[in-house]
Amino acid sequence: MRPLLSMAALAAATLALPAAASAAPCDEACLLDLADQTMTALAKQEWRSLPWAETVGYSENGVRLMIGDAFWGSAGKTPGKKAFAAADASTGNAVWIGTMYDHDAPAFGALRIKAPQGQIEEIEFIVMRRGLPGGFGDPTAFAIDKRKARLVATAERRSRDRLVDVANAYLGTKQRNNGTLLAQFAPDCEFRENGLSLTHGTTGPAALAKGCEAQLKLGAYRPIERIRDRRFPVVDEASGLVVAISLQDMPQRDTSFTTTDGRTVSTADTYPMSRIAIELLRIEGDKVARSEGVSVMQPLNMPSVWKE
Amino acid sequence: MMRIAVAALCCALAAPAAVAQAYGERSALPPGCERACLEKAAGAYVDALRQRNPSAAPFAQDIRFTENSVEMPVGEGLWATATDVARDGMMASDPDTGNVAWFGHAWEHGKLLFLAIRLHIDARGKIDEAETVLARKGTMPLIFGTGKEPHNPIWKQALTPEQSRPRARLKAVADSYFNTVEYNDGQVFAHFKPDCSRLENGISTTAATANSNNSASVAEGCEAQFKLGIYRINKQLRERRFPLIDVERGIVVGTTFFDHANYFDEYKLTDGRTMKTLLKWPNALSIMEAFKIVDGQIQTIEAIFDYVPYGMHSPWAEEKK
Repeated sequence: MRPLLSMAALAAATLALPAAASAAPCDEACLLDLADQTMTALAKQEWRSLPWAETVGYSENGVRLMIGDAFWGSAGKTPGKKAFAAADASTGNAVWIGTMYDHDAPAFGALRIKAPQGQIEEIEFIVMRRGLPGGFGDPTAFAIDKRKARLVATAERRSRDRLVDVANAYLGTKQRNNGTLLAQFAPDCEFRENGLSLTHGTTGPAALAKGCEAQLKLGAYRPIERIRDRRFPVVDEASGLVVAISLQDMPQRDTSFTTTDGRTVSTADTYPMSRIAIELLRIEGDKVARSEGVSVMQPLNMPSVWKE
Repeated sequence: MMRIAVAALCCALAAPAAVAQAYGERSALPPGCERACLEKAAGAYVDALRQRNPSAAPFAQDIRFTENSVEMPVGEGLWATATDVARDGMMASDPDTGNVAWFGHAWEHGKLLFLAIRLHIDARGKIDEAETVLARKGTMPLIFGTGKEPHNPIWKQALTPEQSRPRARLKAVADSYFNTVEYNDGQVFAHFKPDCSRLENGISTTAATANSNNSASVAEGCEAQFKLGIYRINKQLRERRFPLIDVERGIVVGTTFFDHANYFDEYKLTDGRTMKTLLKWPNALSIMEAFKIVDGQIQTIEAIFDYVPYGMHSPWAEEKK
């Protein structure tokens, strides 16, 4: 029986050999280059030029689609303007975040590709367009804090698993936010979303308190009942970077919530919805120093198409 | 001899039917819940929703519930936020399939929304499917009424034998409407009554008023709009289903997605006028639409729809795989 199994395995390996031989592992530079190529191809609406794997998964704002449809037909000729990109050769993922265009309309956009062998196996766009519910800054001025790319001091570096634990603890703190901190935050920590500061602006949670820890101690994110389908496709230990993608449910059972200091906060201007969020987290030591990203409204409880 | 052979063939083919059902039907037995039974169940659902109390509705244990094409437990979505439901919903029933529909409006934390419900009632009179489409007034450019526009009284009228058409034809007429909306370039596949009207999210989109800011302000009447190609932005009407056909009243209830790919951000009407798309990026509408068909022609339409992500899939369509 055993020889038979070995023969079968050998046959499979032989069959697989041509494809494996033609594909070389893609390092970080290769992944970043592929992400740039993808954005160039998008502006030209020419997807055929990209190196595709035999089977490809594609989604836009949480919906599986065919390559060539949707954004590949509406993308403007203006190439996207990169605000930040990062890659993780150990997962084969790269993320490109910046200004993207539909026709002449700018939007906040994020692209994730997975191409461990240099051929794109997965491609995902998360794009916040003007008109969709939620805060919307100036997408043409979309920038990511330069500290994101800086190396973390050696003593402050943490392992990949630890960084993901901290990222999870941050999301856990936001989920059903009741004032309990499950994560630590740097004193100058800032959250930014769709070009707006959530912690240092004048509206939304920033109107209640300034700063990450102060807001979370206050329970300012209480309307988020569940943060599910969390993924961490890119982790960089040297820069303390974790890319977190999640679905956040806000069922809006009540029109107000109470902060931990007893204030009643109205949420009457919203309705039940979920949102898909991609966040670039900067973690220094065990502390969350920054979250910047893009989030887009989804129908309430929308399932994830990228379940791991 | 031929006569005998045909009879034998007939019996041979007919025999299995005693133990199997028609293709696609869940049971060979008709559901057994007639119009009064169906509408009673729909009334109980609406009453329970008004109280935010799912236990007050006759749900089957294996109830499937969706809101705007997302499956979730009963008790979530509008069940957690409703503060009232209108008393004057338009109803249609299909005793042959056990489906009943309700079109109207409701309030969520006091705010108006438009609501379409399709229920399937099992042989015990229990609701085992609840499919809902909600239109909420948000930031998107959505047609939205005041809730004061009455339902056309013709919805309640039974058709005479002359006005009536069989199920298959009624479905074909409704589908021809979707064919006309899809890639609307002026070609009209559907047949309309000259006075055909349409209510979308509680507002007329076929009769202009002083404050009209929708299709009615470009052209009035169902057929005229389609001949003009107003709805050219609909790349496709996807995952069409017609779960309810009320033959007695000539009503078909369909569901679909209007995919607005927006590959272009302006287009020309058949009379040469240039139109700009409201949005420049891909989006879709999840829609439930009811058609009143008299003499094989569309007399009136009611539709409830809201934006969903482009290309979104219906959990109900999966059953057709």
